[in-house]
Amino acid sequence: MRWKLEHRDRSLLARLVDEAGADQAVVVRRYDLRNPDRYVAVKTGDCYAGMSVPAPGALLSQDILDDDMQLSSVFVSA
Amino acid sequence: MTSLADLGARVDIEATRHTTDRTVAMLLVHYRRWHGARALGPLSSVHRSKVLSAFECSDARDLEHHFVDKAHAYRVSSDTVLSAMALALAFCPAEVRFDNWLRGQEMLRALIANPTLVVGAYLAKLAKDIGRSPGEERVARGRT
Repeated sequence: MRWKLEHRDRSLLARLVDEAGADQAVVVRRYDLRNPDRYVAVKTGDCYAGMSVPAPGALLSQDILDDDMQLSSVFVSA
Repeated sequence: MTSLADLGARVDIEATRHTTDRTVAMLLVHYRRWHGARALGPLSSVHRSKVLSAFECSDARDLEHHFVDKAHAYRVSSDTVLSAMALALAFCPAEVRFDNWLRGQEMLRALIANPTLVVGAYLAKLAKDIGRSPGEERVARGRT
């Protein structure tokens, strides 16, 4: 599972890509650059569809809710 | 970026204004997420460094009161400004500013003359860093 960055209409779009197609349960959080200790939960469907990242940027963090609780995150500077 | 203002975006760690054990644990979780993040996009590493620095300096602000008290109690230093400076140099040297150059030199001389205070500040930083081991995130997660 990885994040892909796309340019669309002069804005940045971050899209979560499930390359393995494992359909695992995922929790995604978005942290704004200006308030890096606060997050909002993001609907997983929105992440797969692609969501715009407002300037100056945001951290997108996903937790895969399996036995290993894999955590990974990407910081997108917009 | 949509304007030059975004380049100098202010980073605000809110949790440090009302710190409890739980908020410190959560700060460590957030810090680890930022620290381990892959950086994408223009100036991403510059922006991320700024965030990490803000977290690290918030650690120093959290500890300052305790560190100053301990330095005074153990007769290491009764100079609160000097103790705070030692802590700031250990946690976030890039943020240290001297408004008055002569006063700055005086403080640095005082720090050199008080290695116990300096070592104490770096030990505080070391202890904080050790607290950021991968296991810590699991512990903090369990509390939420």
